[in-house]
Amino acid sequence: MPHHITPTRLAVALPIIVLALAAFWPALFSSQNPLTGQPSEYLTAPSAHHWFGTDQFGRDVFARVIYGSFSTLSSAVLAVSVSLLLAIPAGLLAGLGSPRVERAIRACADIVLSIPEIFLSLSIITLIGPGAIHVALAVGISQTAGFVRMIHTEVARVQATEYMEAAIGIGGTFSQVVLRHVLPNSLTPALALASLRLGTAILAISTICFLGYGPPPPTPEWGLMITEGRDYLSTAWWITTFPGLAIIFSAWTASLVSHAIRSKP
Amino acid sequence: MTQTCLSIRDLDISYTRHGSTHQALNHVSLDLHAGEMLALVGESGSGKSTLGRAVLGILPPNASVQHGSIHIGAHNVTHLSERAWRQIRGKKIALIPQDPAHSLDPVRTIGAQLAEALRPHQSSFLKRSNTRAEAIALLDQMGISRPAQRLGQYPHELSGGMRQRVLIAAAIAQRPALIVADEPTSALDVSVQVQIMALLATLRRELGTAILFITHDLALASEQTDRVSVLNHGVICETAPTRQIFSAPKTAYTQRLIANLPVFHQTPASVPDLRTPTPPDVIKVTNLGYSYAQTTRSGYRHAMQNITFTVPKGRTLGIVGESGSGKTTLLRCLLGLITPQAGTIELLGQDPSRLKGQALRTLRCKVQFVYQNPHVSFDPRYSALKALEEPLINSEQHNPAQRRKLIDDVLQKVRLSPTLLARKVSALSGGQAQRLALARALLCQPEILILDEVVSALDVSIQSEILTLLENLQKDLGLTYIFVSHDLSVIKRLSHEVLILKNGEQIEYGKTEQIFSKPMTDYTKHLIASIPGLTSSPQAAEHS
Amino acid sequence: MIRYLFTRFLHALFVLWGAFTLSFVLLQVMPGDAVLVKFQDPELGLSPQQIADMRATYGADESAITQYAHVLGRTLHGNLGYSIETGLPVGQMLHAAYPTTLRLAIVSFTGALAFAAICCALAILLSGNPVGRYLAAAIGAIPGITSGIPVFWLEIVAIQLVSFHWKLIPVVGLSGWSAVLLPGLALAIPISAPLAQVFMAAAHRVEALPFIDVLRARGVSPLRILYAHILPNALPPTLTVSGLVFGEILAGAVVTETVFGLDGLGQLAQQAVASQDVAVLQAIILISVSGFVSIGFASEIIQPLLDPRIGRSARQRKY
Repeated sequence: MPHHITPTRLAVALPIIVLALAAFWPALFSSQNPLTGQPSEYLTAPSAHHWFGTDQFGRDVFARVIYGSFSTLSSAVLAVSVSLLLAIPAGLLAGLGSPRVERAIRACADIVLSIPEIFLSLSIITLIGPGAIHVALAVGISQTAGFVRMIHTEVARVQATEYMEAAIGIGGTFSQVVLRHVLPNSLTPALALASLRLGTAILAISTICFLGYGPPPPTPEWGLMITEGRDYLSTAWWITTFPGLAIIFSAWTASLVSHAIRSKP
Repeated sequence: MTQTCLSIRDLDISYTRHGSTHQALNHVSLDLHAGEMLALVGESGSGKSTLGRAVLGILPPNASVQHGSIHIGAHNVTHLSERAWRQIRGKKIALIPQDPAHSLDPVRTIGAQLAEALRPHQSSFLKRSNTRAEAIALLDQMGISRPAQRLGQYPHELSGGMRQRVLIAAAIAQRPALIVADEPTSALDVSVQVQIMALLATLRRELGTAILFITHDLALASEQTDRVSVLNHGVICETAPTRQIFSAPKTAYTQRLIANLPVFHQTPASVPDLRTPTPPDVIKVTNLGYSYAQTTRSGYRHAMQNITFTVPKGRTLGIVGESGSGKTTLLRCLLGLITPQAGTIELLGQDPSRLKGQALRTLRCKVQFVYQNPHVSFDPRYSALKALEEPLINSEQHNPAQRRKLIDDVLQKVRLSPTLLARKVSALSGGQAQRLALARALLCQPEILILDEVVSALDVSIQSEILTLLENLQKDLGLTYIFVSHDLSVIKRLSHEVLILKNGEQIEYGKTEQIFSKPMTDYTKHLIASIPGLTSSPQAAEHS
Repeated sequence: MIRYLFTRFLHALFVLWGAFTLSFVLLQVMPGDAVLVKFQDPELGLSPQQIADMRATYGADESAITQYAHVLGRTLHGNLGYSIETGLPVGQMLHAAYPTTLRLAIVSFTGALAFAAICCALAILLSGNPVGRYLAAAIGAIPGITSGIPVFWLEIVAIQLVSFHWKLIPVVGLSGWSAVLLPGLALAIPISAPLAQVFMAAAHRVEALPFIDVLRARGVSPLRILYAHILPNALPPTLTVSGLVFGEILAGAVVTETVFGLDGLGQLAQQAVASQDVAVLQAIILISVSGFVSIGFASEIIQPLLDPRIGRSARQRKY
């Protein structure tokens, strides 16, 4: 199938490329140092030299936002990977296993889903302690139950289709049918959910970092930057505003990707 | 004659999709007089539904009227505003929709919906006792029992036929002079279809309502109607009195449509030569029974019981049953998807419920199933080629070159062009997809084919082609068929023996000829009488 | 019907028990124990004997199973234990904190509902109009963007604009409902996104059903079709996200109460995490799970009333 570059595809691809470049090659965007600033230039408003202004230590906010993307994005990817890694086997087991296994897994998922995700993440953090990777793990584990339920539903849906019945009818073994039809047809929606969950993971991670359980200062992290900038709210709006916009931008990009996966024929 | 209540002149309608335009109707002209019933017949894609929607002013946003005019009575409604349309709809023109199951609001009561149909511009319902009385009278007129009680019920509590009666009641609520009936019976069982057609005829006689009857079924169009218009690819190719269309069709297209009707298919099913000894039975079903556990106190509900039949090799058993007759349960038992609680099944000498692993898979290949809707029986991600390769890969006996050869051979058998192989199954037409489904079944080298309503979703001309294909395949390959259909005329054409199911019981079983000429039960007689176009043509002739 | 509700009720109790057990395992069993972590701090200068006494007081020196039985037993008796941080009974702390959170939840939920309803009604009504379609599409895209706004950031911006810049509502010195007005409304914007998205998707599905065309062909006005037919049909699927919305409001409360300095359950939870005050955190989890489960139970009771097709097998047939 030929892949043309259409305006829609470009519109989806562009934000992803920008985010990926910012995360892995931040020097491309900013030559300033995100960790050390010039104390003489503290709290200066956005200008040609400092696009997003400087913070209370004279650090360039633009550089910090760019360098911060690695922390947030990699944590979000780690969180969603953890969820998928745990949820795919559980969801498939629930969908393909015996009714007893199915009931057991569904009951577990029901229990975990009843606890609001933020409390679950915070509980896990009390257990394993704060830090960037711990936050990602906590958020990932908290999101797992939703994935399990979703994959289970999808597997059950595919199993009830006539094409599954037909695939068994033409002599396919159980494992052949699962590999050829169940997995590809049920995991596409799971993938769409995964990219949507990337957005919620970004929000959850920055929220927990905002509350102060993420990496310690002076790490450039969007949620943490907003906490630090709160005290200078009335005089230096730029310290909090730009990291927030960066979070919105990345969450919105994730929803674009999810939409693109779902609408793929 | 009488006054004209619908007049369409030189109507052109086109759809715009992704920048390209598609001409749905081309210079269509049509007149409908008061009290007249005109059948608008066309196959799928002919533009018949577009015409129906245009007359009601409910075309989708991407459709536009480019030329011509529509008059309802004295009103020119071609380019009417939404607001002005609302004064006409319901009062002067009404719709009887295609699918009664989805044409009523599922969360409002029948009473509320009828009240809205009676007074669409007022909001306080049923409080006014005369609205309630009118609604009851309407339901009574439709032949619905206990009408007062029905007002409090929800659509899902009524049967399909009953829902369609409610919709007809809503349509005539404000006594419009014109009704557009868009395939009003295509979603209903045959016996209900007859009742609805009779109801339409009564309405027309008693209220003098003109009816534009849109259908794909030429045989059905022969009933009750005064005139027939044949629509082909957006062009009306013939409009003539009903009797004349059937006795002396003018255009080649109409002639072909009539020739393809199974009812008018004169050659009986290739009757087996009775002199040769009867071949051995390959399917033996004895006293089969299955019941579903129910949650309410009534305990078990019998889906079917005491089903007994045999099918000899190379013959066809036709199974007839309306919805709820237990035919789906029977087929699922035959396929080994569910295990019957009573009785035995023997396919090619083996009981599928006793087999496991490789032996079961081998038997499954020998007994192939073809579905009513071919598109959903293929993995949506698969191309036609990949779909055909799957059974060959399963059998693990062929290298790629051999597989290609077998696929080319089978395509020849089902008369499908190899150029279609690269396409996704969803991009194929209904007829093509059904041929592909047959091809996939044949690649398993089956001995028995179970055909579940395989032609019901297809246009008449495609239907006829598939039936001919099935006849030829049976002759060439010696296949045994179980052919399930609600359409008796199709059953008659293909089957050697017929089994009639009702409420899970087998009420008649015998040679096709015998059942059609001397039906034993009233139900069978009723079914045969319900075949459109067979018995009622004389009535239609009387009318005109 | 009664029987069905009874099974659902048992399921709800089971989920509650499961969540209790899970939070116990997470918080009290795994890392040594909280008392040890708390009081081993050399700055407190407690002797090993004192620590052992403390542990005995909090029941931390017993085996996990005994502790579990003990905690479950006292919780069933309505005793939620004592806070390690303040030494107060947890029940008393919750009692003092819940009114603020409840008020916040009510304001934000009402605001979210209103915001979602306005968005949806506009999007549907405008979509019938050839020019309005583009505007409708733009409105339809709003929830996708608002769902990505971090609550804490939005609230900081709100404080900056509403309180500092426009000086409409002061940040400090408020109590009761006026204290939760600005935080509640700010929280309502992201909360409304899932509501609006699910409702709009449901409404578009209903709109595409054949009966809507039948109604149009009957001369029913678009406004009436919207409120008398699309709305009642799209409501039941929207109810299914009520549990999710509840969770979002609680998550929002943690952040909001921190940002605005409100003394609610969210603030309490935040402090409990910071000081590893497990009894408090577990009690808050138990309360939120009860809330979640009751909302789910309530929506299961309401669903069949809104959609007669749901649970019909369990209902008695009238004929």
